[in-house]
Amino acid sequence: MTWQINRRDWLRIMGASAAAAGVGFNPALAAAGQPAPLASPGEGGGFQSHTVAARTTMANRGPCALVNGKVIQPQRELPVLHTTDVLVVGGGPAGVAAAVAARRTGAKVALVERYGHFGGLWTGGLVLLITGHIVKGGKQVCQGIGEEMMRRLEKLDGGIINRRPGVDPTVDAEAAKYLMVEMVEEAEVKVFLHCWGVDAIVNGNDVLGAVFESKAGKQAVLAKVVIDATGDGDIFAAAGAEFEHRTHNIGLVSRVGNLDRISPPKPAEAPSNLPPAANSAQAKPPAPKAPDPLRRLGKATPAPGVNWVNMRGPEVDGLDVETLTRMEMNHRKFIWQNLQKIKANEGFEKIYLVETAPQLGVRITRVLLTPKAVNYADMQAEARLPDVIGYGGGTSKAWPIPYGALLPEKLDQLLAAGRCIGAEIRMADVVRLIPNCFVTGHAAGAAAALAVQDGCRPRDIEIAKLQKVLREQDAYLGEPAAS
Amino acid sequence: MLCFAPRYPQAARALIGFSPWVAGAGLLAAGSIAAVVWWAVLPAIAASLRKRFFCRWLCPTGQCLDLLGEAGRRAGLRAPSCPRVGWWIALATLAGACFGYPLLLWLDPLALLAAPLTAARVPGSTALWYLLLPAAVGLAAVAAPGLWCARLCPLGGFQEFLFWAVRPWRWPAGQWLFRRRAEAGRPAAPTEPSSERGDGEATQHSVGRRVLLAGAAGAVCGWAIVRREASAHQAPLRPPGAVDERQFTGLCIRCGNCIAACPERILFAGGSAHGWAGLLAPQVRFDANYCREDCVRCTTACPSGAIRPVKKRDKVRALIGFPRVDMNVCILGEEGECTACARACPFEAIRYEFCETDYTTVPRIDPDRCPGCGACQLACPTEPKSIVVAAEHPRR
Repeated sequence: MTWQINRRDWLRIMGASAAAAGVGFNPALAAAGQPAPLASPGEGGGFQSHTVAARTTMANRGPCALVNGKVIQPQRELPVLHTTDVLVVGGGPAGVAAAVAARRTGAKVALVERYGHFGGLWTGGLVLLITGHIVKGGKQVCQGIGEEMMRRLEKLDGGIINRRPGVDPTVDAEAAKYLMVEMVEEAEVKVFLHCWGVDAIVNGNDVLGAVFESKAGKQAVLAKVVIDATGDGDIFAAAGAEFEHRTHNIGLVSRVGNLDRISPPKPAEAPSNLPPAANSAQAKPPAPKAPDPLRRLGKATPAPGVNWVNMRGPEVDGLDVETLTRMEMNHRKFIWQNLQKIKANEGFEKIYLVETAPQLGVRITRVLLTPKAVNYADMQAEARLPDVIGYGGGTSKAWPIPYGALLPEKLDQLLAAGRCIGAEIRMADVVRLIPNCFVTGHAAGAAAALAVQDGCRPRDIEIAKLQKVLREQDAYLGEPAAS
Repeated sequence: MLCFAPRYPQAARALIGFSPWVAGAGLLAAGSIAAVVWWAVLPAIAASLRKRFFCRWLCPTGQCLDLLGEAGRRAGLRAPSCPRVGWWIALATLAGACFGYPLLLWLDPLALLAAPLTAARVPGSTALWYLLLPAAVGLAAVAAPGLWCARLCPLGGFQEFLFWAVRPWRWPAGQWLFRRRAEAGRPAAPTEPSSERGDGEATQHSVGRRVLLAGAAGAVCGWAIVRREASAHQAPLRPPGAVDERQFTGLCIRCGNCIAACPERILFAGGSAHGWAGLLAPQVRFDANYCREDCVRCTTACPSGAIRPVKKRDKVRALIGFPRVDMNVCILGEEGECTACARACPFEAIRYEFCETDYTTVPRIDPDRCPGCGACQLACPTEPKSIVVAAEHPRR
């Protein structure tokens, strides 16, 4: 049966729709069917701002006092915002992977994030290159949730480039943020953004939850197992776990645009501080030369003509707030001034600074001391660890990650994930890479959920069961034994 | 023995240890002697008691050449008459060795035999180079049976020197002195077999101008070569414990022992790219592996002292070279995330330093900790490598 309308019917439908739309958009008419807004008598209805409480003070507060010149924080009760099975603190690559994995393994999960988006340094730090998931020969060791993210980014227009076997792909920060919202919502993870985890709730050796600072003051979330995916190990540090405090390079990533509008000068005029030919014999070994500044125009991103520009920066302490402040300001000055220098080269006039990363590129600060640590010898020996929960890459050989590297020595009900897990310094420098954070996050999430399920401490869970769950979730735990 | 050698490469290595000529020249030139060479003391003693004892009873090269010569003899070939070139070679080389450069040490017959045995373990076409000289000697043995052993072999010549060395009364000068004493009623040499008296007379004639000239020429050449200016060619990387490059090409007898001993397979027979003097001498290449911090096998395998013995705990002092970084290739030069070289360094000699003026990070290598093992070069992920070990070392 065909459905046809004539011109008169069409006009009638259009007219009716227009009238309906007029009613809908007119606040006076639309309000007719709704309860009166919380408007005070003096305010016009046109503002999208209404009084929540006309005159109030903050209920959830406990101001510090100055006692004998010392600032004293009084003891007080904190409101419990939420109670859950698994609490993940930090919404970076490790935290999101942990939350999704724990939820998929069957636990109730809450995820708390300090910024307004997911992805941590991956998105907020503009570290857009996914590097560290492959080893020599092109084998990809980051599977599971990390691989799922990369696959789903492929489906987003402008989500990811260079997604080929054996190659490090580059993502778009906004696409990654969008994807993680999608994944967290799909998994039905309870999310708290704009909450900065500041303290742990501890009873004896058991971590029972964490405290968050937000615009609503300090609040608590109680959980059976807490996963510290803060990167800096803020929660395990607050809970009293032992850790190694390290310095590392801190940089600031930026993005540069209009790189497709560079008209390169003739070769003869090419700005060159190129080194002398490699085979020219020199009496003494020269100090490494500074690189060509034009090499600092970064690497391509999915956005056309836009590069992301990494920065190593000086080796400093990322836990010191004055250092962080100095880094932010110095780096910002350098990025701007360096770009002006590059723009002074012929053909480079049109490039411009798109943005600097919202988050400073802190690489390593606290490294948890664990009964077992990710170590170089295991990698060199290609050891098959009985408690392996994943493999990391970014090296010539894949390195096994023992479950013990996620567990603090004394504290219970707490797991670490991401760059702060137990690792030798040689390995900490690859543990921190984004795909390896996916791997440790995935494992920590699954382990936490199993501990909740079995009602035991995370250190007592059955490793074989964890490995089985991880394999079912497509994680890579090494090639199956030959026999 | 030839049948077993490919299966047991250490057999070839042990073989050269029996050459007193290599041991002696190595000791003179390098001032040290490898453990494997102590075996040479036995043939040296034997040769000093019985003339050319080693040649006649033990030398495997002689046996092989004799078999080949037999074929030549059956075909009716005869060796042409020839002066005792072996003496000249031996003396010129020893004289050169006194000044640090044993000129023709690579003509040692045991090294000639060992080279094809190790050739089986040498990759690619360089194996053919190792076969070249032994093949030439073999062919010559067919064409001129017995010529090598009797006239050309420097080890044979050296054994005769040894024989005379312990018999001063048979030196040209000593003969005159001792004869007078013998006339006074003393027997000259009771153990000496009478049949060898004829050779003794030949000695008197031959240890004359030509041998002395050969010795002088060897000394002058050795002196000149060791003191020559550094070659225009950039020196190649030599194995850990190798003597100075100027001596190395002379001391190395091209036996291939070190190459066969290297478990990491980083030693290769050199081509002529760094000058003809270094042809077939071992070079280090870090293409597939690095020189392990806990391995000193090549240094104990060298029979000539070209590679001095190194103790494992002294590995950091056995310099191979020093890495150079090209920041225009290095990932850090484009501010990338890479710490591969420092992670791989077994001596913890590399650290990264932030340079305030360039606002960039550069790898710095501590010369006191780095022997140039090549682990950094192997681990470097860039293509071409941005960290490459070059022969110059600040500690050299």
